Amino acid sequence: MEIVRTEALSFAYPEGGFTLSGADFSLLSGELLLVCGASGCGKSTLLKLLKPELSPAGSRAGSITLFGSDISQLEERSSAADIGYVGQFPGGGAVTEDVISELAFLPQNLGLPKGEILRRIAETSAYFGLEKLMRRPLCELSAGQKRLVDLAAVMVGRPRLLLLDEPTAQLDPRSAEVFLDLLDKLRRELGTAVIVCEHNFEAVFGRCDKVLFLEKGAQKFLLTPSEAAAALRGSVMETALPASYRLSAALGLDRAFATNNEAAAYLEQNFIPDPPSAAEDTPPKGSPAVQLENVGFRYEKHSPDLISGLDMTAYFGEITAVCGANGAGKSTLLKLIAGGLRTTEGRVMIDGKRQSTYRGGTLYRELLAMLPSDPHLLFSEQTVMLDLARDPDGGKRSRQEIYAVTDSLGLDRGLLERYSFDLSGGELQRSALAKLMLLHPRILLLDEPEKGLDPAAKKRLGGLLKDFTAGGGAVIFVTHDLTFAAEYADRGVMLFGGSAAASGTPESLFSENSLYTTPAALIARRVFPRSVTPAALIERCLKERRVTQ
Amino acid sequence: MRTLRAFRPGAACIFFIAVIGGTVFVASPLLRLISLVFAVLSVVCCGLAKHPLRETLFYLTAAAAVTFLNPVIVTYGSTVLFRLGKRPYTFEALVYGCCNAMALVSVMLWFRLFTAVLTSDRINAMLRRPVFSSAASVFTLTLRYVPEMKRRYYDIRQARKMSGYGSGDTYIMRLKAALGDFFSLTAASLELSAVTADSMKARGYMLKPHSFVGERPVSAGDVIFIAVSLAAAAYEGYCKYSGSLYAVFYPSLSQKCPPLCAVCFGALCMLPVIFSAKEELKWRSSGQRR
Repeated sequence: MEIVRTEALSFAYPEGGFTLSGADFSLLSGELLLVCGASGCGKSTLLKLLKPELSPAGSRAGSITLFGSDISQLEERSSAADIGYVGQFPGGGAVTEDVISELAFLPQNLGLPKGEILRRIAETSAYFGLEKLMRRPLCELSAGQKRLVDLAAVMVGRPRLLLLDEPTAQLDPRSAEVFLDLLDKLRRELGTAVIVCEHNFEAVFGRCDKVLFLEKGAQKFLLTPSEAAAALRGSVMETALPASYRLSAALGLDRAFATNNEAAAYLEQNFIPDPPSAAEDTPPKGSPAVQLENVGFRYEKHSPDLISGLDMTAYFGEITAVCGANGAGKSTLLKLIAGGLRTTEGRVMIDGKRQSTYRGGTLYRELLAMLPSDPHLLFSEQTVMLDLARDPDGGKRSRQEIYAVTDSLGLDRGLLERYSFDLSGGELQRSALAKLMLLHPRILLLDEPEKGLDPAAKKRLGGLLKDFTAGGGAVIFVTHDLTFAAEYADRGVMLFGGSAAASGTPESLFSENSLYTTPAALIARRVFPRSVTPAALIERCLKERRVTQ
Repeated sequence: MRTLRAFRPGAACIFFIAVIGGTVFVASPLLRLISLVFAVLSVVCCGLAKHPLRETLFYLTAAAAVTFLNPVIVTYGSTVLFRLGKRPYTFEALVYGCCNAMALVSVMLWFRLFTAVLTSDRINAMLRRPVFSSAASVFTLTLRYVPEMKRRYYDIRQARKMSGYGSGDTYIMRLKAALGDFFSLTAASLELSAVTADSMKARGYMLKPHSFVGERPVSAGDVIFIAVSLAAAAYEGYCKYSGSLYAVFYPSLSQKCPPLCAVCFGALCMLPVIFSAKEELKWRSSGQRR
């Protein structure tokens, strides 16, 4: 059954500027459509146009047909129940305090009888494995759990169409897999049609039926995943494709590998494996910037340690990536280094001195600065420019000084005159980074800096971090994007159980992990175990093929 | 709390109105003491005291501030204890401050119990009649936003400090930074409200007719609970307006509280403790182990 069809759909905001044009697609029940494109290309606008309650104000042309009738004919009750919308931030759309109330919210609004509501809550919670969380306050859940509650809270209405805006953006790889597996199950068993907007579409690409690519608001193509991979070849968006697709394209194969395992099997059959070798450790490029010695931390007096016995060193001239599951203590670790939290055990050394000896803000004077996971926290003025112009000592910075930094970050000067909440994720991230760079720190701590960035912005960020460390600075960043960590970090640390379960160069870290690793490493591990990024793997395969030819 | 939650939201609300109203609107030291004692016991019995030491310190500080500052501001009263400059510091003003401190702390504690029993969804269900629906939205969102804003303010302060923008050396700079934090909080709160409003709209809020999963027919227990609450409140009101219940602080202390009124109000305030004890007994007699 056809769930949604758009024909020549276009939209313009009343204030002008952005327009969406020529969106033509249809979706059958049980199908998954991936909508992708660069930041600000209109993905979220398209998604909201399909949900009448969230449709933005502006002029719309073309048609949207939902469940066989025009969107204007759709009853309010049907719109609420049949179209489920899940926003970008896990738990961001929560209305009530605990899980059970959140699940009850929609069916109560639909006026269902009490018995029916309880039945739906019971079966939905069992389906999503939420039984043990039902009475827990939402604020106590992890990002992965909040994501499941977000989905369950709309699935309880038994929607026929699900609209998901960057559903895996803040999830660790394992939680993202769990979430996407569940989506597959919903499509298979209940026939729910799903539309997903994603920047980082590596995990979704292999599962979707169609790919809709938007460029500056216009639909560039609507293709199957294999065709889309071919169409994206050579563009900067290619870097967001799954490693298996990129590899098959680079090797000139007719058909893309369906899974990482299939790609790994192909390599085994066609290439001679490297002899086993011990991982090499590279010497540090500079003196220690941050040293943690036997550090322990817990949030409550009687709660278990979140971090315990942690030893770690980050050096000047290097980028250090900290990885680990949601709730492993990664952000807490950054806060401990930045002095936002105090250790309960051990000591933190910054640039060779105990952190506690830096007094009266001297730690932050041209030494250390931290970018929080939510960059909005750093902005309070009506425009980004006003925020950047104010220095912490109460003085004002000149426009020239500000432009020197923002231009180097690739920030359009026009964006600086906008309100921080009106910027896209990538623009906001770079604006916040500019605010930190204006303090001329030598140590940068970044909490998920790649979050919400499209491939081009991610590449630019990686280049910036490399430039910063080439100038002698040190970067420590926390990430869930293992490929980004493998591509740009000099060293990696994997947190587990409150301490560093593994550390080393990305090559040694990710080649020795067999589950928590990059997709490229999964493909390459039996043949070229040190190739942990798609680019390195492709380069190696092409080189070896030339040799054998 | 478990058994208080078993009553319909309306019944529980009437109980809290009776208790909090009786504490606030009748300035009797005896009734306020009764309210305070049972508020403390109720919070403890319902397991709401998560950090007993820290919380006791907070309430004692608040009570001491109200008690000892009142005579500094109010100079009425005939018994002068000492003088602060030319201003008399009187015993009566001290007692009045103490009486108000008891009311303040007990109301804070009753509200803790109130928010634990009447969660936003229950208030929503209670008020979601055509006349009250907007009020319900405002009320439930406010309940959710207060802790949310507290958490957000902490995040903002911490993030700004760690980014190097909240660590001024002088008081003026710190004040400016605090103002920036406040503006940031206001902006974020407005944006978060818009997200929540969208989410509510997207999930059919304000569609009619609606239902409530916790709604069950009014039971005899609800009726008795409401009747007891209303009777106690009515008798207290009667005593106050008939002149048999009063407290005068200035120029000298004089107060009267009929024993039956104290017993009725005490019994009302004691209900959460009784419910908790009953629950405990039921648990123990069930043979289950903790």
